[in-house]
Amino acid sequence: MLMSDITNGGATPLLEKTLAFTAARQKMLATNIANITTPGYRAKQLDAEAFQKALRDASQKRRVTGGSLELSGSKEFRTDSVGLLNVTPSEEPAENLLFQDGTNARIERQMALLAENAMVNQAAAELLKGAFHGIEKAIRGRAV
Amino acid sequence: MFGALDISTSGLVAQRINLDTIVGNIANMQTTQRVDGQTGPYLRRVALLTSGDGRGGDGVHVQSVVEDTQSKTRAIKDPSHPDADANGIVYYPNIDPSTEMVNAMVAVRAYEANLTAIESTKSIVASTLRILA
Repeated sequence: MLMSDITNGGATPLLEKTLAFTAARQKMLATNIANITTPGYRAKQLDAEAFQKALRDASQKRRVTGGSLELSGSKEFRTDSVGLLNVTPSEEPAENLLFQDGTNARIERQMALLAENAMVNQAAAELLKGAFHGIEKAIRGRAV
Repeated sequence: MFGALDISTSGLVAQRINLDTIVGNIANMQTTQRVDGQTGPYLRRVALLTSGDGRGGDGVHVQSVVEDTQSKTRAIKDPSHPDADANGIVYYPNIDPSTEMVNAMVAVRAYEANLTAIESTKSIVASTLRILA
């Protein structure tokens, strides 16, 4: 129980969910970019802001009730019975007129989202590394 | 995570086939004989890209490479040409070099976009592996 309290407490589950979400989002962005010249393809999206809001709500709920982090599901993402994150990207709405080939993909937007997604993932990975490093130091009982 | 690499690779493969088809068109701009030796203009070929990897997964693949039978071939009067018909007209392929060049540029840029996606995914994988290192 003690070990699970250590690994399920603090920011660790939040960071783990963030890593899972950015990994799934990376896959979706890669699909959008691979299909950038496919006629009739509609770009997919995962709402990062909605995900962060769900994380924030879950974190606040955990602070009040205790226990493990429970993410309230939405149409795009939900956690399954063992706590793994499942995502279903939705179709990106066409803001402007569709292009002649029936696509709505804007390569600039997809590349910008890709760069942003990679940075969020790296930030979460670094923070998680720091958290584990702290636990390791506590286990060893010395500062290095 | 490795699924993202497969998806970007499928994009690279599809765009390379697309580019192969386009440069094949440019190379055959003056071809007046078919592969089987019959007289007749080479017809412009188009790679048809379809989403999905063809086996149910995500990605993109070239469904087929088809001949463009819609656009008109160029008819040029040249009675001395060995491939001229009874009226002295030679039929040249329905290939417009500027269209092909624009399509080639689109294919190259799409290829580059997939490469960038691969680089990004690689950096994500590397940073994830560093968590416990």
